[in-house]
Amino acid sequence: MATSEREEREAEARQVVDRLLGELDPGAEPALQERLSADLALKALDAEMSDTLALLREGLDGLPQPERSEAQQAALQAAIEGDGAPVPAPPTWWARWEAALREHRRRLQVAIGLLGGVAAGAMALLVWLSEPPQVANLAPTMLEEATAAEPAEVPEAEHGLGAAPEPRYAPPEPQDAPSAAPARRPQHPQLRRERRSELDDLLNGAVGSSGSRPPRRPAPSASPRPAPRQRPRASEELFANPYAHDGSGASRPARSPAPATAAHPTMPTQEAAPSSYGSARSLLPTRHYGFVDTRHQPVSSFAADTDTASYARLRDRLSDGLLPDPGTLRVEELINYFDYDYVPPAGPHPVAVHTEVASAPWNPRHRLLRIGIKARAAAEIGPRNLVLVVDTSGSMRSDDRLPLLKQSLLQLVDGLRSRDRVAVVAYAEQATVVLPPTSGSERRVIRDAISRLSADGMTNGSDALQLAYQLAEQGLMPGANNRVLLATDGAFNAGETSLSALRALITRLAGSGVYLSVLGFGHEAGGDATLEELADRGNGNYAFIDSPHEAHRVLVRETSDRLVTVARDVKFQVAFDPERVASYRRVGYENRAMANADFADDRKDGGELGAGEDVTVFYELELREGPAPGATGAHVGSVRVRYTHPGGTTGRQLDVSAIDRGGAWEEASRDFRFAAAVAELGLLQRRSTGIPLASHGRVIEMAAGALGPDRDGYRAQFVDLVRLSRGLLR
Amino acid sequence: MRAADDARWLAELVSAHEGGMLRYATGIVGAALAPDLVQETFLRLCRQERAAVEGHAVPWLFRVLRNQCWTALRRQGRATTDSMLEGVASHAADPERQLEGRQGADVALRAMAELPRRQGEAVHLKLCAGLSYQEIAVVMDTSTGNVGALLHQGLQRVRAAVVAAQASRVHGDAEAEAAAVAAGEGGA
Repeated sequence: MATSEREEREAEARQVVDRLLGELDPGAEPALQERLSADLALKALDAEMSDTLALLREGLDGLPQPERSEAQQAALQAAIEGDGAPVPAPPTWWARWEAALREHRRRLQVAIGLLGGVAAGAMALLVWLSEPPQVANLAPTMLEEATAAEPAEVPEAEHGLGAAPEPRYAPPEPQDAPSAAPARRPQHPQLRRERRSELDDLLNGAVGSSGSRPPRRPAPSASPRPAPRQRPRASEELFANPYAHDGSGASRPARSPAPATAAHPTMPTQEAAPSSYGSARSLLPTRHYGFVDTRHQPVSSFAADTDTASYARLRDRLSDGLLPDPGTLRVEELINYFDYDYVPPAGPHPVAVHTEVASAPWNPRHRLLRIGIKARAAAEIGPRNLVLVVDTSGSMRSDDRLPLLKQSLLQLVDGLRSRDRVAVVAYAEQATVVLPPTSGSERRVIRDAISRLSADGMTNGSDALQLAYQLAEQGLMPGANNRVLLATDGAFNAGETSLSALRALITRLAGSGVYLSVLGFGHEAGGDATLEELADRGNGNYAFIDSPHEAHRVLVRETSDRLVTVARDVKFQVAFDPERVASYRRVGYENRAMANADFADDRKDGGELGAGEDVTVFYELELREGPAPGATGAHVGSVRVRYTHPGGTTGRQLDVSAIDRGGAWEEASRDFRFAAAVAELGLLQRRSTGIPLASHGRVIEMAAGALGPDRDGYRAQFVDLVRLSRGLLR
Repeated sequence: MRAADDARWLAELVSAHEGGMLRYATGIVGAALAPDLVQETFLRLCRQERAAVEGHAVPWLFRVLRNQCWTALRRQGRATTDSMLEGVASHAADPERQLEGRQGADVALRAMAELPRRQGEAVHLKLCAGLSYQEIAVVMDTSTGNVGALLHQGLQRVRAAVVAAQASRVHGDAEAEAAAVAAGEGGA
């Protein structure tokens, strides 16, 4: 029994490989497609395998590309024509063809490439136009499909191979390109990226702009295929371990429950994408959303996270009229951007834990468990000892970086008091103390120092951090908020470039009682994960600053209380009741997963919680068949929250039961509904699977119905944002 | 003297497969030697009767080339029983490349170079030369089904190494990097 199941899995895995290599029997394709949409583990394998193949191809493309010498070519030509005997004149068309090809090989390749590009663009436009968006959330799927479905036709146009049904052999026309390999690599990531950018162009009205295509590699022996893709952090993006979020890594996401999506008309991703294989982008998000079988792994642990950068980035993208890159979206950061009115703690603990269970708006068969924790508000804001570390490298010059940062810092200065202290370190090739520790009463001195900052040179972030930590340590005020604020676009391109060295440095210095907050600037996604990680190592927060508005929010409104940590190393652990819950998935917090054993280990780092902050987490649950919960409700699991006092060393733990009273989401609390709407947007943008009812329209409806007092207008802004994104998708 | 039709046939084979063959040979013997071996293979093709080769010219070319590569490696004393992808291995181990920020591709290449010989060969023929399972089966003198199995096993190992290396990068753990290599060797 077990053996045959294993054999079956093995056979499926082989089919996945066969398909990615273009060797799957066409008759087996539909069955495999069905399995792929039903089995998340298989789908994860498919995505990883596709990424692996892309990497291998990228690597092999990087091998040296020797050529036969001219003498060799001449010798072979003589051999082909035969024994030096008089050569019968080849047909003139052929001779001209060959001569022309040899002479203009490069130009031809470029021309073919350009033609292919135009054809690809036209094809994408056709695909785009031929499928009217019926529901708002079809559009991102279509975008993916347009990119994923192309291997069927477009690459041939792209490579000028005509409509040969079997492109692996030589085409009838002689070409100096090896036809075999290029024709077979429709899934090359660069192609997808190009098409994506073409689609972006289309979205922005730049139809058929072939000028935006990256130049092709001119290497003569290479076929007209694009240069190996530069992937600054493709690794992080593409190779997130799909099982990482189940902590121990021992369990696998269970086979998906009866896929409600499979037959649902509003959920075309799975069935309609004929060859989503190789499209790591379309598969990437779904990997993060595997359901975990409670029989294998009833316990789920992760570290708290109060970062909000993803939301600012999402807003940034949408405001520019671009669709966000699903890979860079962290759903928990969208949810936690907003404030929720959870009841603050009254007892001895500095945090309070609240749970609520209702139906999942995006899948009525599933339940949604929300865990909300709220930190105590600070009675009085203590003195602050801040060291501002400002990246003044050349890349910071653009308007959305240093100028915006200076503006933000000047706002921060307005809020300083005489017992606060501020120092400023600027860094490019070298770190320089621009302002030694200065009392908050001398605002003009501080302002002048900030105003003088200008951007040029390379980046050497680690020296600056070291210097900043020295300054912060020198001025260490017990009981105060000792903090280094690193403002950068994340391009550490000189000095200790290796990230591991930086990590070690920050971790070591974090031990001295100085926290690190990172403010990210600029559009590049490359620095994003890096910055977040640095902040984590330094026990701090990471925020992405995209506008003066956001700067104000982060630096002024939140520095005052948020920068006062009331609980350190906050971790969550949920132990589900396997009798009631068949499987679960956490919404977001992919990179915060921790081994269950680490939960109770106080040496293991968790998230920091500032005064008045709240954290919201959703688990989507698939319940077992059983009687409906009675008036008292059904226990679905236990929620444990562990934290350490800022000055303490021993962790403390709070235990709360999660009770499902069987209610629908419409009857849930306002904060539940709003947070669920934000989560649904995140799932939509990440092209998650298993969200049959999700749509932008419903997100708007849910959120608009749960605005509440909305003192800062953030929730209303969210509704506007979703409207904007829906408009973009149309 | 050769008939025009035959000459064209040969020229087409050369132009269609030269690139793939150069890539393939480079992966085994390195860039310095590859052109010579490809040249020799084509010259041998010219000495064949067309009827003897036509219909299976692609596997014929790669099989001859493979044997030449193999012989060359042996002559240089670089041939080992467990791998023949010397070109890939030395390329992936090139310290200058380590700085280019392409660790993902390099991990994949290293894992590929460390595959058991038959698996590595199948992967190489597939990805570098773009041969079909059937053609690979002829080149490697085995069944099509076995080619699928070799490819599957080989790619699973590379995948395991890539995923493990990624995990180690995320967690910044040098030990996990070592584990990645181990996973690549013992995985799948």
